[in-house]
Amino acid sequence: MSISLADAKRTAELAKLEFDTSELSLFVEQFQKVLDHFESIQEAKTNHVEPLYQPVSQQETPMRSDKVERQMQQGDALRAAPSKERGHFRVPRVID
Amino acid sequence: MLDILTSSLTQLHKHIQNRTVSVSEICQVFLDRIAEVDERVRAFVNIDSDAVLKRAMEIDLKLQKKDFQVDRFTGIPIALKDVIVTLGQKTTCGSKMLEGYIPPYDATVVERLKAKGAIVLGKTNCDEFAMGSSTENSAFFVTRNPWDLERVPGGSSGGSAACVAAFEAPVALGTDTGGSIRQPAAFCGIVGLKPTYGRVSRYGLVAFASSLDQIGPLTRSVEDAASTLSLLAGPDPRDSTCLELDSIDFAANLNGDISDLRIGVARDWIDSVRDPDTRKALEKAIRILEGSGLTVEDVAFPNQGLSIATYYLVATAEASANLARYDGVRFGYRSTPTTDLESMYRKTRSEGFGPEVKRRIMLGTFALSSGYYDAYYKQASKVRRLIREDFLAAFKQVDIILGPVTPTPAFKVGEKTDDPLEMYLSDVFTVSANLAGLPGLSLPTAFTERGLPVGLQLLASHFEEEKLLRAAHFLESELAVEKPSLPIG
Repeated sequence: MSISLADAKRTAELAKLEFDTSELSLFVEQFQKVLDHFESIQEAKTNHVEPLYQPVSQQETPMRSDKVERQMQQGDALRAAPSKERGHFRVPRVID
Repeated sequence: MLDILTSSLTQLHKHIQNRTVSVSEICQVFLDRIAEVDERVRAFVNIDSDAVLKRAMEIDLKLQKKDFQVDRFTGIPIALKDVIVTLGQKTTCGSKMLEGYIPPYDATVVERLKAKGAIVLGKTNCDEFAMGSSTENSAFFVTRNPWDLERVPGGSSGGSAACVAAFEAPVALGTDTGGSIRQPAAFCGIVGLKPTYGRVSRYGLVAFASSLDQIGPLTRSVEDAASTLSLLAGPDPRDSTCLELDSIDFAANLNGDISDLRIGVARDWIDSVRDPDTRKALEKAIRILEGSGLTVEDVAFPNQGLSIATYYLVATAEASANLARYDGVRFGYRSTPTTDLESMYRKTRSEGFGPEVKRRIMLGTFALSSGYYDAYYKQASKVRRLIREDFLAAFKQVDIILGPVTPTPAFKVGEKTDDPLEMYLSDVFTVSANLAGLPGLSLPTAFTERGLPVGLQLLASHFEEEKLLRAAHFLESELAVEKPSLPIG
């Protein structure tokens, strides 16, 4: 299938990435080549095949008992923050 | 004079246990070697020599007591790929996005190795967020192949492979999502082991593709890989995909009888290899196995031709989700100045990620997006099941599959960087083991006339690392590969 500049722009919007016009055109070109190769998977006979999301099957998600265990302290969680204030992560304006 | 640099892990352990060499002396020898060659190899992104020697001295003090319990890894220096988090020590993932990032915790594998007295020697260079096959996608610099500095060491665990091949470390950890341990091991002439998915905890491994990633060792011998796997493997409640399995000493039965092992040759894979040195090496290994009386038969994988498309749809989709956390809010790079949250997200991600990472995020986002999800991600996940079924069918007839790791030996720096698809296609023999969750090992097999390493790949069924390592150990001693001297000395 064919990829348009509009498809690329929409994908970039979803991925929260920005490209200038020439970057986006190059991306579309490379993307098209890769997608053309990927078309081969449409030939596979998958009518009655369930998707496989985990390569090694587990019976069920392992659970633990509901009791408080060791956890990261607030100071440690904030230490790498680009900006912080009064125990919070500080970010630019959220609401217009 | 004891040659510490070329000693196996067992030999180093004996020196330490017998107190014939101190841990400080061992670490100093490796630090000196790094100082001597790493300006040319560029395997490491971060080393804290003071911390290494301080830790070594602490262990030497404990060793003064005769009754101090010396474990197999006590005092052993290990290099770690820089996608594995280390408490208080920079972890960059080869990316501007995490250039100064200092993690507040150790990965489970790091906790395990520290608990046994091993020492973190340093962090090794890699393709950005483990995305790549040459280490050329690192945001910082390109690691060089110690066998030919004009060539790549492979990727994404290029730094780990290069430092072990260059004797800068006796062992290193890498990660393998689509071949990123096995391929650089083959390019650098060392052993690389990807465990079964779920064998080793991924807690503290910066996620690329959560259903494909595995941590594993890069070493100069199969025995060293086996003992390192024993150190790494084990259940972890902090990684729900890490299974409760019996603890095994993988190095205990390496010399065991192999007559029970049936070998399957991936004939179609071998026939598709055009490089004559690679084909010659594979045929030599097959003849050795046939000559030792083992059952050797061809096995086929009907869906192999779809493996690259399947892998690059599944892996990029998972990556697009895993890399959504890099938004400049809680850690890592943040673009400044920005006027609002949305533009901060977009600018941070566009400035912090390199081109290959952005390419894969875009591919993955597209494959998951409305209108395309069924045709791409869901279809690829169905084909993934078919690929796994091909292997399960083969493993009803055979115990070990033998095939190539890479279509060629190491290529030159810059040779494949213009064409992303060409780079992706070079992973053709490694990605299917990740899709199916199988354990795989890359074994040095030969050297080309130009002195470049050639490896072969062995695969086993889920959780059959014991068989895999036993077969690899046998082939390793039969092949008895004579390594030329390194050009770097």
